[in-house]
Amino acid sequence: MLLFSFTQELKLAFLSLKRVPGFVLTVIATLGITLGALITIFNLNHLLLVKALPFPDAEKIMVLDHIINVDGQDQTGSQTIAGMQHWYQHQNSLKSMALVVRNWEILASHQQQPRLSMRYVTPEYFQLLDTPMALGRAFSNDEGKDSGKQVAVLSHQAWQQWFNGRTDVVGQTLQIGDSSFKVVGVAADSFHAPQLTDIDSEDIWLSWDANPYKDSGWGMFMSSVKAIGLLKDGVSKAQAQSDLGVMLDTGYQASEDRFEGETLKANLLSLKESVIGDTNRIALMLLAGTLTLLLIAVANVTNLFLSRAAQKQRTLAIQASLGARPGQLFTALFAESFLLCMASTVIGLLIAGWGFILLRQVGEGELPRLSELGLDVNTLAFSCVVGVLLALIFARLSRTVVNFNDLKEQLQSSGKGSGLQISKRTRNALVVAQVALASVMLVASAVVMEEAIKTIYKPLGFNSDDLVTLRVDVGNRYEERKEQYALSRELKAALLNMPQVDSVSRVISAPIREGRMRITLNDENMQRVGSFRINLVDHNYFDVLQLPFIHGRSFTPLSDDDYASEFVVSESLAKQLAPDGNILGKVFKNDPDEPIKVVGVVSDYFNPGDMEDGNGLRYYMPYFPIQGGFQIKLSTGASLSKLEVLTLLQSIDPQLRITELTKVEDAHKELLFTQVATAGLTLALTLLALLLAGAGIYGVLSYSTQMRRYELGIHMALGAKTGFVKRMVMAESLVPVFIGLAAGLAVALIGYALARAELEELIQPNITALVIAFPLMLVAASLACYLPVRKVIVDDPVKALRNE
Amino acid sequence: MTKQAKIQMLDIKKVFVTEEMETHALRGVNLEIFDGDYVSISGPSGCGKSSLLSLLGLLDSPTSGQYLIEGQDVSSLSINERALIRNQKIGFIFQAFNLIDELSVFDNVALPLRYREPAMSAQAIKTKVMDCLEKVQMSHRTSHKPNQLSGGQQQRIAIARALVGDPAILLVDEPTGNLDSKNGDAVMAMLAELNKAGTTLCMVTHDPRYADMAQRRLHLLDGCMADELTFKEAV
Repeated sequence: MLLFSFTQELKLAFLSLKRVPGFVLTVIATLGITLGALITIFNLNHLLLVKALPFPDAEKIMVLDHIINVDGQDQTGSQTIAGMQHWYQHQNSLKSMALVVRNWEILASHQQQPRLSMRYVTPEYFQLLDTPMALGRAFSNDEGKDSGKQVAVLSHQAWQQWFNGRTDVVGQTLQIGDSSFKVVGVAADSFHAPQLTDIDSEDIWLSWDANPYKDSGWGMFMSSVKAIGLLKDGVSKAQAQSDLGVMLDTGYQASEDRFEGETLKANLLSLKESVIGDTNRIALMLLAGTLTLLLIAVANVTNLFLSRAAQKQRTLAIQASLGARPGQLFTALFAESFLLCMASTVIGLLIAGWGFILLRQVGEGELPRLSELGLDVNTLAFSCVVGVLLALIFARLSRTVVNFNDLKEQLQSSGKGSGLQISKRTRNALVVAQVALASVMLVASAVVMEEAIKTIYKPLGFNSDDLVTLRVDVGNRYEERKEQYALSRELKAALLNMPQVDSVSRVISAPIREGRMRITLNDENMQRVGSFRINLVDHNYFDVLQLPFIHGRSFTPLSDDDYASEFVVSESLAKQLAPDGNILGKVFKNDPDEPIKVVGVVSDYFNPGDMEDGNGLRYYMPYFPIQGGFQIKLSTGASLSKLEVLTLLQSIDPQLRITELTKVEDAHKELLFTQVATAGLTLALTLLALLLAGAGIYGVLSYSTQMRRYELGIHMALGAKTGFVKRMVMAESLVPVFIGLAAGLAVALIGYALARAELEELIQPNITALVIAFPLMLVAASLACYLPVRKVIVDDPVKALRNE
Repeated sequence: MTKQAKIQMLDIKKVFVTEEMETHALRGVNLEIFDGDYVSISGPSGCGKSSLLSLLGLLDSPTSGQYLIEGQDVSSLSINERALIRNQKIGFIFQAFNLIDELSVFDNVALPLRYREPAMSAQAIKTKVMDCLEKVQMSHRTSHKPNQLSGGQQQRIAIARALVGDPAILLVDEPTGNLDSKNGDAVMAMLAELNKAGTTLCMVTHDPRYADMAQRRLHLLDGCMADELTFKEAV
């Protein structure tokens, strides 16, 4: 019976809401977006703080690290393979232990030769993590350490991406780097490998024995080495840590590679501690942020509901006078708020689905377990509970509009009830707060967005059209300098012979994805001038990039035995090295016996991948073959496929591999992803701030106008024109808006003044942000002020007088 | 010479449409009110009295028909054009007084003059307002707020407000509905005095005693003029 009654109320509520689409849209948009953010962040927090790792006995699985004590100071983060293997062979504290090393390798047997993330592991890795398999099997015990077996297990993603999900992949032999591996299985999609060494996804697991570092000694510390183990029953973490520490140091002290004054200890962290680290703080901060957002949204939507209740006050009073009990009125109001909140929850869940994708992209490398984000029972339950709670709050507040002790007054009045009324002062304070808060957010958003957009549209300074970067893995066979020169020259000549290639320069670094190589420059007396970015290039490099010379020329090409005696500097570096402008001919030194003379100054260019000194204090010296590549200028509109390049490389040496073949424009776009994402995210936040502020101001002023509707009806009945009524209401409504804008400006300026030192490194605030933000806020607020008045003035006055 | 009607309604219909039903409040009303008339409109509840008064006062728009005030067709004017006519040619007296609580007696009465274009001088407004308050014997209460006055006093303020713009016609909606009989009688006496002084009046009332005070008594029934035949004869 009760259910039937509520169903009837829901039907009535639905019909009633159909008549107020503006109210419905505003409530659902405001709550939907906010709930979407909250659900996304709740899911993340649940994952990081509450949900157990999806592995059996996860709380007993430990991640084993080294602690290096140097002169009494502990250092963490690096391990020795020798130490890990020592534990693996001799430890007694763990029931089972697995070794893991991360590396990048080229999947040479694939036509595209992708560079993939590999993990060399012992078979216990799959046993400890109880890895579910989509195809085949994991490593067996006879494929472990010292077995000499070369086998591989593919991740589900790698299987789909590089093998098109073909089931016959099991049993195939893959060429990875210089070695062959037989595929024995494919991990199931549901397997989320714990991020042990970094946050990168894992593409392929290879058997331990193929690991190129496996024979490295005690002196080689690497961050890419880890081990996991399951504590034996009855052995505590502290006990295991102590035993393993003693064992590790004993091995280290007995080795030839040990350093004087250094001791090693074991550091054991539970798998969850290791995976989550201190990211739970970030997650909690995000949760606090979204809860604040929800509070603002709830305050705004409450205003909308109160305004709606004020509109329905007379109807509610009539129902009450006819004997409707408070509970019955509450049910009717709850039916409306329930429908709206549930619709908002559904929208919120849809937005959360998008939020998970966004969070995975934005949080990659910063937050763990992102691959596990997704709607689950807990998240659905949380969303429903929040939705119902909000519906209850809105219904409860709406019901207070009816004063059961003074029904006569409410029946006779036409809009101004004696139930809950928010004072004008409170309403104005709410508007001031909304406008001030939103203005500050808008200023901040405008500043951040302007910075991002400036970076996105900033010209590179050279012509990136048809420019391609090629990197070649030549292996370790070309050890002699002459051989390396000869190979690089042969490759350059072969590339130049390709019909679509216009020009080629050998380079050490690509222009916009350059390495971090810096070399110190000294003056003639070997006094240090500074450490600057350096690129080793052919003399025609500047022509290939169409990077213009400001003064001088490029350096003279070198023969194989020559050492560089000339170099070229960037415009910025020239200004720094010779503020008087006379840089040409100045002599500097890298090496005491090899003076180098500046022969040219080229324009600066912008590298979005190097925001530290993106405009670059750089210098260029003649090419010297280390691990280099080529900058290739193609004919206009031409393309260069990996297969074409690979065919060419292998015609010179079948062992040569492509490490990278990228269009500079694509690399540029990739590097700008953060800025594009920042601009997009900021724009979304700006719109959300505007929407929330707009909805909030609209809610408050709609309520105010509703309270004054009868009065406005009188003005109109007495002959006031719509313009007069509009001006009268707007003039009053805009006062708190202007106060809010002034307060927002003050807060923004004070905030900037207080945090100036920190902010100046990140952003360059200017007047544009204010010029954009404040008029935008004023327009939004004015619209929010105007719409409620418009509702009154477009109708005949009789409706306002009858409170229809 | 044919007498020019101040108010002329020809076949006025008003239909309220909701999702569930159509309600025909007025079904082709014809009406003429002449200069100096004192017309009462009465009829049972739901006969369309209030709808007719709202249309007469341009507070609402007819569904069809023609409505002329002093010869000007006002049936299809814009919101602002109708506001101008309400302000200059119509005075309202409501059952519930409809005074604005936040404004003083003086400001309530002055309201219609403040909407005038071009704007009137403050002195001219003051003179007109005090004159009207004098007429209703309320000039000593200019600074009071409406809620500091009795019902009878509030209605007198409402009458002053209705008169202040020198309207062509005064529309009166159940003027005694919220008053006791003593105050009701006083208000009705005041209206009669105004009519004697030349003000044209159209009043909606339930009370046959007050309806009989008018020179012309019209009866509405189910949205039609019950004495339509007499009216047609007159036309």
